[in-house]
Amino acid sequence: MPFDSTLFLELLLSGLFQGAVYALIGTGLTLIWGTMQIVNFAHCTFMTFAAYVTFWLFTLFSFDPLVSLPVVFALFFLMGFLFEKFSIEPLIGKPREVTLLLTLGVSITIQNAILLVWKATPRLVNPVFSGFWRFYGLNINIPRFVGFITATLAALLLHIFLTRTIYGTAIRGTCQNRTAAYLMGINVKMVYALSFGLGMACAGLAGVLMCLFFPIDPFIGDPFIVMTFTVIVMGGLGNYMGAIFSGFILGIIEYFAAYWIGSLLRLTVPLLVFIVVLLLRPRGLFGD
Amino acid sequence: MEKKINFLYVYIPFCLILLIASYFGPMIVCHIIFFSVIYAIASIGWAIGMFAGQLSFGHAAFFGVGAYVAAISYVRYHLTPWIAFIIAPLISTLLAVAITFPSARYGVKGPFYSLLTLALAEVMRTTFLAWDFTGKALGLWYPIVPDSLVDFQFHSTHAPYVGIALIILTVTLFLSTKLQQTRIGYGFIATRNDEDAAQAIGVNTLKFRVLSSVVSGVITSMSGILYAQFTLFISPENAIGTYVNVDILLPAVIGGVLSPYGPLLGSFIINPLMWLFRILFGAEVLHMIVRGILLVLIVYTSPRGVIGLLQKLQQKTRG
Repeated sequence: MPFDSTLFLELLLSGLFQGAVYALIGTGLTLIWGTMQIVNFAHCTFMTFAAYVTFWLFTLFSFDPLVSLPVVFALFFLMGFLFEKFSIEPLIGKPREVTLLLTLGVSITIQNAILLVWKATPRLVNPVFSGFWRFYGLNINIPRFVGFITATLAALLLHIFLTRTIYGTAIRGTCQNRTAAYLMGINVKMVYALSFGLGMACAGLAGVLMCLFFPIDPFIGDPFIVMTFTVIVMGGLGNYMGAIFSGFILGIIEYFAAYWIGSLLRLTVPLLVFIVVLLLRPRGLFGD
Repeated sequence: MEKKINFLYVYIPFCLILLIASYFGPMIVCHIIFFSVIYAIASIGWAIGMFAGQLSFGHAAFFGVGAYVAAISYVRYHLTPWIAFIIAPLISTLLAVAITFPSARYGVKGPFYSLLTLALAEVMRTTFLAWDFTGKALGLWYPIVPDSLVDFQFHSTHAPYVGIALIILTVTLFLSTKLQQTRIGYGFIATRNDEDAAQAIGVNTLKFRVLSSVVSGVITSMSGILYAQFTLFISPENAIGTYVNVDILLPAVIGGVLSPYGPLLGSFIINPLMWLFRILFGAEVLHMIVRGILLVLIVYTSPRGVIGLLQKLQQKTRG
């Protein structure tokens, strides 16, 4: 197939659609990092879990993935909130490595519990939206397009929540200076739980969207782990807009790399980008 | 001095028992001992990185270097696998310097360093999955030959593997204790506690970080060589996969990172337990769940590992 403008546009669109999911997960993770300064290793595992929740909602109650979006959002917000309250809060003030190891342990446990209970069989959800949409000679994958719109909307809504509401302001204040926020009367512990819940809810939404594109199995989260950290480091830690942009950029890089270098190496190139960015611009491309 | 002699009295019989058990005992006992020893080596290596405050999530990269160098030199070039003991440390050193020198230079530390090393391991894994030279996803299979020291294959009894692993373990333990007792050890502590403050009083933190990373990588690559020679099959999944990272760091975290004997203790707790689960329940999954739960538990009960727990108990009984 010759490389022409149609192919270029299709790659660009596929990259953007994939990037939307990265942006969504990245926003959640960067929110957690920004407020609590902890690396949540289990983020992508929660995404896998959300994908399974969506699958079961679809199979048992025939909820379309788009209908289960708010359900999963609420469920994962609650889960994140409680998880932070009961397991991470006692560890605040201890060295950062401790929470890193804790979330690693949680991630291993959940992933293998999923594998044990639901087996490794790939599961498929058939959403209402499926097939392709011909648009001026371009083939647009409708589920991916829907996913793109949803992810972008969710990321923007989160941004509005953070900048326009009192809770969002409290979260941003805690991001900037924990002690000062505490002295201003902000309930820092509540902010922690709130932002962890929100971050986890973002991962949950991403999990729902994964159901639209792929057959799901217990390992779908694995390639996302390093990718998500790439997104948040590139965007500048705690920088939501940066995370959204770098999510899109990485998605596009991934698809062009898959075309030019081969699909086996599609994940290597973004990883190399991560290493280079971390070493040369540790504060992120959009950092100060 | 007195403590050291005490330790030798425990360590030498311990090695002897392992050797005897692996020679006379059933095959499975030998397997368990061998894997406990090689993960103890890898984990001691990993813990040396921690001495300078560098939590690595990507030691599977070094493990993979060892395994792949051994396999490639035998399968592709028909050289004796022993040559890997020269080449793998060289490559590991290069890799460690390449990743740690820039990160120490540009202030990449803490969680970022962990992510960087994780990315390194993932780059290696995805590259090896796509590279013909490393056998792609199928990996490399050793041709099976009769027992010979030159070919580094022993089939009638696996005890020689345990013997070789124990020699390397002893050297590693010696190195690790010496590193902590000498001036370098203090450099590590200063770097670990506060890198900026250490720099301000004239400690060359860059040197200590690179040194700890190099020693750590070289030791871990040794256990990779042993792993490849024992299993006689390596693939990106079993030599560099995500769970290899966990296999390497778990013994040290469970046993206690800052004591050289912590990883050894941890490895001899974890690995027999894991094999027990494998034998009893068969499922590969269940022992991974146990692994995750143990990691969570140790974080809450005793961040300094079992050794830390024992020290606490000792202090309590004394006063």
